[in-house]
Amino acid sequence: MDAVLPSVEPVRVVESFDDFYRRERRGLVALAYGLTGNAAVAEDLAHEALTAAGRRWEHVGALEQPIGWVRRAVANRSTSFIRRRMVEGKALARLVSRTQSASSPSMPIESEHVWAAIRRLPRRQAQVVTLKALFRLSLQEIADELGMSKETAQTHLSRARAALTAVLDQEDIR
Amino acid sequence: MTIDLDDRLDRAADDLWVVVEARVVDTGATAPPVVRRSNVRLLVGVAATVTLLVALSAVLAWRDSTTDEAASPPTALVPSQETVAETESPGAGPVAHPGAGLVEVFEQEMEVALTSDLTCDQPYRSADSFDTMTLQLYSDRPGRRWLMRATFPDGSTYELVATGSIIYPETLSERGVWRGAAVGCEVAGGIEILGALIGEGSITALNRGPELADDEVGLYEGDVRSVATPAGEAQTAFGFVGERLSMTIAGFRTTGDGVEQALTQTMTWIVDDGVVVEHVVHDVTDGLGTVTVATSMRRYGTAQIGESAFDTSETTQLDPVARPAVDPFPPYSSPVVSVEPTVPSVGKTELAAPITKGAAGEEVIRLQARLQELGFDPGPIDGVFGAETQQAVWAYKKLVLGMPREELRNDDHATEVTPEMWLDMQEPIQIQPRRPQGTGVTHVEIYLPQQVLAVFADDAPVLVAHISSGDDREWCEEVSYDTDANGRPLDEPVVRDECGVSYTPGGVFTVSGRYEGTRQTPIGGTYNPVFFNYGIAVHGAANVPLYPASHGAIRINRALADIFPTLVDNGDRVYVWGQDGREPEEYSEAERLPLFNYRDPNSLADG
Repeated sequence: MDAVLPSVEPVRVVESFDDFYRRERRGLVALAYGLTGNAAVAEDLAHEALTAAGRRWEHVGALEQPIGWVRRAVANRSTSFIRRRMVEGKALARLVSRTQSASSPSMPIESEHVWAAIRRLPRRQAQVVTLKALFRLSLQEIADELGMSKETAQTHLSRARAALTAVLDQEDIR
Repeated sequence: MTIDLDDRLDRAADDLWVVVEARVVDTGATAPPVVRRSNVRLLVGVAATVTLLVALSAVLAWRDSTTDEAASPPTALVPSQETVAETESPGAGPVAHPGAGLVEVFEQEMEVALTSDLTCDQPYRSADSFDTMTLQLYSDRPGRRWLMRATFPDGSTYELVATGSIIYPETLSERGVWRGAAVGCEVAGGIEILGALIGEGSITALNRGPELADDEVGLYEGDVRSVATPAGEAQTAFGFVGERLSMTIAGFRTTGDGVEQALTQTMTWIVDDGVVVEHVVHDVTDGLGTVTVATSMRRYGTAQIGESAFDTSETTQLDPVARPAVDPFPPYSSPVVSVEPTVPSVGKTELAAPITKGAAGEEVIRLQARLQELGFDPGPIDGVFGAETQQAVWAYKKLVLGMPREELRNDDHATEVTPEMWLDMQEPIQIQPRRPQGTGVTHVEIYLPQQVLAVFADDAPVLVAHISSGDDREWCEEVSYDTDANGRPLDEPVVRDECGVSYTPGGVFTVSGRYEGTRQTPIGGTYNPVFFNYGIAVHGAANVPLYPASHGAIRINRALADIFPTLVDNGDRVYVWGQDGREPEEYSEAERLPLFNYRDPNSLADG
């Protein structure tokens, strides 16, 4: 006779969104800031992505790496912001400069150059190199977050590094 | 030389983190979240000749943040107890609300449809469907001002500023994309927009503050009706002009024990030429904050297809309760010259005696270098006090020392640099634009009373020059020209006896075109002209005296005329302060027009 086994329901353990939000917001702003170069826009993009995550937190929170999901959202929003800005050119640049408050903090010019060079990279390369620089993620982690294979991430990283070296070298000479 | 890329990247990352940490202050209570969703429908109808329909759906939600201070990382993961409850329509039953609510996420989505039966010859309508004009809104954090940029399918763009705020004690973040549409009339060279509405899109705002009671969960449903008469002068017809707009928001809030309370809020306001002249709020809510939507725009010109021709208008935050006595267009005031308390990089030097044109030597080199540093162009820094250095000194005296040009003209020592003046010149002086544009923008400011022109890039002076403009006098002479009044080349040159008035109008313009080399225009020979107002151009001339001498154009010296066209792009803005002391924005469209030449009535030649 078969024993009646107690039914075991899998228990999903999900961190509260509040805690997640508090812990991760700053890093997400950093990611968007690196990729867009505009701190005010970065805050908005991070907020949007967090809002999107919060709305479906049942789903996102249960992922193995919720932060990976949100970072990917932020990275994609940031690069499409940049793309849009390039297309829209001057008029938007004017707007963006106005949205920045007068007290916009800034970083040393050398580092500004590095980030500007990163932003000129193709978007996947920019995302890979930014995730690596800001969060010191491994290639595998980057690949998981961006939804690509480790090899692809490696390729993007190598190309990004080669391009950055060339660009920054030239700047130094000038 | 090879860089250490890893090192550079590390430093860049560290520097970026410093900025972010300074900016993103961890208050420990900035948790967002979403519990409920509702739809708000708004209908806006603008009667008379323009009808606008807006459907707005909004999403409102918030949830608790029971953890207060100190964002200590969670020590244990807890099972999720809250579920995201979504109700697609208002009036759904109360939602179990677990606790204190400090934070709110507000989102709204809008749609707009627009119809019109304008009576102009060539009615213009952005399109029938919603997705024809995209307005992007960015909140201007401190001022809560929204900057909008409209893009039409043909690529034309417009910039607008509006206030439209969901006012809560503290707004943490707000951003959105709206869509809208516009109607107007096609006129020569562009479109005159007579009505525009911001419509479909989304806004997200993260708000929190004590006004949100602990136990509040709410849904909104609202109607907006507006009646507009876009009649009146074309100049004031942009935006919600003479419009009466009222909005009723009905909603409810749910207390922790599931009791619903009905809420109603009615607002009425009348907008006339960008100014809210009447604003009434009947507010029976006490916890949900106040929703205020107001738009004020001012039209600056006719929109040219393919380029941005509208300036942003200025608006101020409207007080949601008190009837605002604010001027949405506050007078501009910003000094041209500011003295910053900076430490000079080198010690001051002194002049033994005044130097003037014809001088040469070390002292002249220092003078030239200093002029250049300030944005003036003294020509090559060669230690020879020549005509270019002379004009730079004139420009300096007029702009920085405020010497009236008439006085300078009658001054035998107009070009002289005295020892006192030289000491003063070594103070930390900075020339600033009167109309700062922010980074990434180049613009030109022309001060006709001073007869000085300044080019600013990123609001820093890159060229400050002595000019000679029109002198408001009538002239009659034989003229020869090879461009028409708009600066377009003619097939062959024309010679006529003509009269004209040497008038340089003030106003706000954009650079519209340029030519290389010498052109004969209806207002005289020009070298490297850069046009910004029909035939009026900034151009090089051999003679740039200390008085207005041109037939309306802006003369700069020939050496500068080689540089000026490289500094400005077509589309860059040009602000001209008028001879009569008026601000550029104070000139009407008619007043901005140059006066065109007319045939000399005494001419014997065939015309």
